[in-house]
Amino acid sequence: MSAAAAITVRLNGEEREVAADSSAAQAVDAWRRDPAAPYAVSVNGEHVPRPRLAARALRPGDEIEVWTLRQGG
Amino acid sequence: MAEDADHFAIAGRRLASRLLLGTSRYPSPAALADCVARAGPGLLTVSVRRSAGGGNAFYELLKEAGPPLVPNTAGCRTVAEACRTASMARELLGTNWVKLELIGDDETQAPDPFALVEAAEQLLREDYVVLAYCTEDLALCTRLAPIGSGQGLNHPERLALLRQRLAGSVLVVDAGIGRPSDAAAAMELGYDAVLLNTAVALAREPAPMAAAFRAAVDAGRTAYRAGIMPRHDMAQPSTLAPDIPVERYHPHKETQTQ
Amino acid sequence: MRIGIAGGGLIGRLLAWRCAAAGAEVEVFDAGAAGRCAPAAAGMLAPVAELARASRALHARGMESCRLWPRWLAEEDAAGLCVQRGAWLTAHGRDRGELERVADAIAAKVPDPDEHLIGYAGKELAEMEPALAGFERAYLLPAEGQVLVDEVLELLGGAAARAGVSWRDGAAVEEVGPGRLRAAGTDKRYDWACDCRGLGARPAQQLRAVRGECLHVHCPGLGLRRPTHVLHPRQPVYIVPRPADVYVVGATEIESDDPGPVTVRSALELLGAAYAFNPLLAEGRVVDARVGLRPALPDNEPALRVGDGELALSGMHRHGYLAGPACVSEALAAMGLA
Repeated sequence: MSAAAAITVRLNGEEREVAADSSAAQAVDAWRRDPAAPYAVSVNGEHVPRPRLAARALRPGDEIEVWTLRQGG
Repeated sequence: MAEDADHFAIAGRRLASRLLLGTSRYPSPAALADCVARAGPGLLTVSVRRSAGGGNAFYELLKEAGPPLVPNTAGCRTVAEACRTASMARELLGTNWVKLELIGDDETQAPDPFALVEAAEQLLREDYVVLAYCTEDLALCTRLAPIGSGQGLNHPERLALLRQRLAGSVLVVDAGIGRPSDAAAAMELGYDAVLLNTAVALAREPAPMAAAFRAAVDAGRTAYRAGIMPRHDMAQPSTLAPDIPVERYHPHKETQTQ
Repeated sequence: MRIGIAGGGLIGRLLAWRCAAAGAEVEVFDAGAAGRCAPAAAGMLAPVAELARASRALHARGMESCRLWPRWLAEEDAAGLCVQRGAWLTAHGRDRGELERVADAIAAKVPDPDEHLIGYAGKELAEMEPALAGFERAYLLPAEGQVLVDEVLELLGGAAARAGVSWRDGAAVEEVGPGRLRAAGTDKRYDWACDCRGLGARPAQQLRAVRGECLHVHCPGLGLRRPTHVLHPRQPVYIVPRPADVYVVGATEIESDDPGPVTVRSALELLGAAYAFNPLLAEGRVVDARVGLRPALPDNEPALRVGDGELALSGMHRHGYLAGPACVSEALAAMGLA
């Protein structure tokens, strides 16, 4: 597979095309709108701490979730 | 005579107030900020969810508000889900505190006690401070001690028993508190704190209601520490001055007619 | 008097038209329809129902707008675009507590509760509004109504042009200062510079986005005549009748900057509420789905700020149609044009 090939992953429920050699950090950074907002990420239902996102290579069909703070009781 | 200082701490951390406040369902962010200012809560609960792509405004507002933020695991149905949510919240907020909620029944939102104990044990091993949201069941709470968070004042006698039996634990009454007198009653029973949300957020005027709850929590706590006179039979008013009508000194009648 | 306006959405159009009608020379700079939220609104005029959450000041602006809309539209022979036969406030039986809570909150704030909140039940309700026959109880809010959003937006654009407003399309304003607008790197001078932008006014205004989604359902035979607020502890919705048997079902309120299409979750919630409202809607057709990012200030209420040769109308949030005319007429007064 060439480095330029694209794979499809899901990010917060929506399908996205990313380069086949992307890391989870790259996909998440491209998606986030406000760099100051706190966040945490899970891949396929498992929490991946932020320092480990760059080393987490994406595979086709990976489910990435970006979470943030919301109102709660 | 000066009263002893009445510090409130959970897991060694001093909290400024025994009134704890949720952040959900206020009319606006500004209204939430007003309520926090009037209530002076010891902590604020928040949830962590999939980001909808919103900005940072809510977090900034809460940070400015001051009290520590404690994430909940609202909506979680399994041990794994709750533990993952706690882990993500820990990174998100930089806190090892978590209000553990595990829903066992969608309709009533009643907690699942078995999963709750399992998740609490796992999180405690991972060095979390767990505020477990449970019913006022004695055996359950004994397993969950030291910290629990109970549901409402439907069974005051059970709450009283629980307080008596778990004297060394931090016990918080959560959910089901509708009016300041409920909060005062929980504090009079010796509970360490109350956690409120909708009773303030959905009041006609949330900010004054926040102030009312603050006063009620203070009143209940002060009364508890002052030592509340045991109940006795008011049908024998032999100690009253004979020329004053009995009704005027009947505290139960007065509270019931409001 | 020369007036420059940043933003050509609902508020920019209203202000441009009224200023030009009052004799001013007006120029509008509009970035284009892409970020516009006005078309995604239902156009409800709900000064009374909003009192459950909003301030008395917003109620007063809403009542004033209810008076201004038909008067202003009549100048263009379009008074029919404002429909005022009242609105309903109701809830399903199990949410009755929520209905009474909201009705009490409104009654405590509205000046004449008996006039503004009229209870109907049973046969009386079914006769008054047959589409609500499945509800035990509802309150009629006689002061309320709606404007027809698409028609009004188009009419306002035309009315502004006929009044002599110059329109600069595709020209996003970069900065608004005292008597000064900067667009495409060039400063333009005016007697008054008015900021009527929505989220485009960030970061100068402390605005956040609140995403709103609504669905348009074509359902001949439902026959609902008045906008209806259906209360629910978590997911309140409204159902607003439009011409030709179309009903607007809305609206979500999500703290989000995401302008993307309606999500499955939101569609499920809105359509679930619509189906529960009246099973006839199950046979309806979803003919449109709209999304808007509402510009909101921290208190969720519109603000008019007046400086020296500059003013800003911002943070309309859910209240553009409700508060717009009143805010615009306050702005005219501030500029000495009233």
